[in-house]
Amino acid sequence: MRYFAVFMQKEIVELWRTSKALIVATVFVLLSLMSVVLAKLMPEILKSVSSEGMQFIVEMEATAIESYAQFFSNIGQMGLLMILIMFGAGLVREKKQGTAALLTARGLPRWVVATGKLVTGVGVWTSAYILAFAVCYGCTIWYFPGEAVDYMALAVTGMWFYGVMLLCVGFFLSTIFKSSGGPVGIPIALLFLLPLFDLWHVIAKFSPNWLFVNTVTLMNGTAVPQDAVAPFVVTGVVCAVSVICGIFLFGSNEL
Amino acid sequence: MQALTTRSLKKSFKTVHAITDLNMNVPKNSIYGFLGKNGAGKTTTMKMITGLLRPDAGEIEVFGEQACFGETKVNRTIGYLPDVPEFYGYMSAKEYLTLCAKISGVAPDKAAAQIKELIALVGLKGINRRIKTYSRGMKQRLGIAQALIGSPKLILCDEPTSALDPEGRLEVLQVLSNLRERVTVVFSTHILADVERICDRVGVLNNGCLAMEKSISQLQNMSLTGRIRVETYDENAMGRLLEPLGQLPDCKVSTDKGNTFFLEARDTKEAAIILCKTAAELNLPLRRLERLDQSLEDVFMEVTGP
Repeated sequence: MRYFAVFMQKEIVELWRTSKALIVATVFVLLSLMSVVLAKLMPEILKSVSSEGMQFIVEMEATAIESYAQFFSNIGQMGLLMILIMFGAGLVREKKQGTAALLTARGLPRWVVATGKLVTGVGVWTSAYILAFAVCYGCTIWYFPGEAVDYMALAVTGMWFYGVMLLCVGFFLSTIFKSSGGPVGIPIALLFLLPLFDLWHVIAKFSPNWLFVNTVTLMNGTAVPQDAVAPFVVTGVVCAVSVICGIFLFGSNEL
Repeated sequence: MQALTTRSLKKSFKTVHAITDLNMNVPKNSIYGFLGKNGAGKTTTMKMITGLLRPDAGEIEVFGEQACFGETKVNRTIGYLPDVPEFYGYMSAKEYLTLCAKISGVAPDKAAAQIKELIALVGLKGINRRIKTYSRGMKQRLGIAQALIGSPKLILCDEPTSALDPEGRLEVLQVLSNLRERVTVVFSTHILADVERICDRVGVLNNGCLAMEKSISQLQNMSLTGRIRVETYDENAMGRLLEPLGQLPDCKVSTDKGNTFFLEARDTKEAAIILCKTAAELNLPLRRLERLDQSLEDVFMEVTGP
């Protein structure tokens, strides 16, 4: 654990000095604020552009759930996209630049480098997500007081877990690919292609994508926690397999 | 005791056979010059020793302990400087050396003193500046300092002077030379003058195996093929002078410039005697007759071939 602590200290210095942490936090907070503002103003905006034939749209009301729906949509797409671009290929960069070789040649265990990079990515995603949700939650109860929401913790956790899975897949791909293209590109492709598999109902029930697309249905009571069990298990298995295979493969990578 | 031994080491990259059969012995506390053409496999060998590359076959021993790919205990006794060292640009040299000291398990109270000492030893200035602002020469000095952190017993330097200006080169050579008798240094380079200046032993890597391994003095004295410079007063004398040399094996004229020619012969002494006798018999006075010392470059060219 001594090695892990040393490597993580280096990672924290990197996050701070390269301003990555600040950039992610700022973007996530802005996305979060934008979600609440959009939810609040959307009916007004639609009313201003509506005509006689569009009367049904104007009847839409600003609600807390609409605010959270905007939040999950923004963070789940733009936020995750940013995280994957910035942290999806951390291990590949260490390999390609030769910085990992210099430390492992000195005796730093390879699993420390591998897990250190993954923990950094997951840590930044988790911290930024918690911060963004705290902002969204605070603003939502301010603007939409007294509105009850079902299974909020489960919905929030599901979305977070989905992001963790994409990072784990990127980590695994980092041990196979020699450039950033695969570890960044494939998880991003998954982010946009997984919803297509939801066309098959059987797959949709088990797909990790369920955790992303059903945040609102959980909150409005359309979906129940039992429905989330299978996607959670599948996502957990994907994470575990990716991490175990990634650590094993990085151990056999020539640096 | 040998500091480093490799036995029947082999390594291929797809169709390229980088190392075919490397048997190498580096004596303890020596400075070992590891020579070879570009792509001869010097970096590959060093990476296998440090466990960064997996050998296809063969054994590596560092101070009697088996070195293996990946997690290897012998890394604790090795300091490694790659040909192009890459560091974390957002760190300062001091911070990077502190990181290395922590990984090497140097006690925090001793680390600060060791870092200070090493920075002075390699002559690195601006240690609180970010590494991304360093020149290649400064990075090379930092690389040497990091290789020495934790007092390793064996230091592998992959072309440590290639990026340095003449002054920096001499300083780095002096640093490595000062390590003599304290640590073992394996030092790969293309600059043969550097090897002659500081190395005790030389190994020449060619076609994936060690074509020659000798001490510097043995190398300088060895007479694989000697050269003689002959200058005459008469431009037409060469043919007549060379006629009797035909009886000597491996004797040929390498350069012919009017009344000056260079003779390559395995037995330069015998060739010189015959030349003098012939010159006297034919009454062809010689202006100059000189045996040229063989440089390391000559030996290198001869061993590695065309």
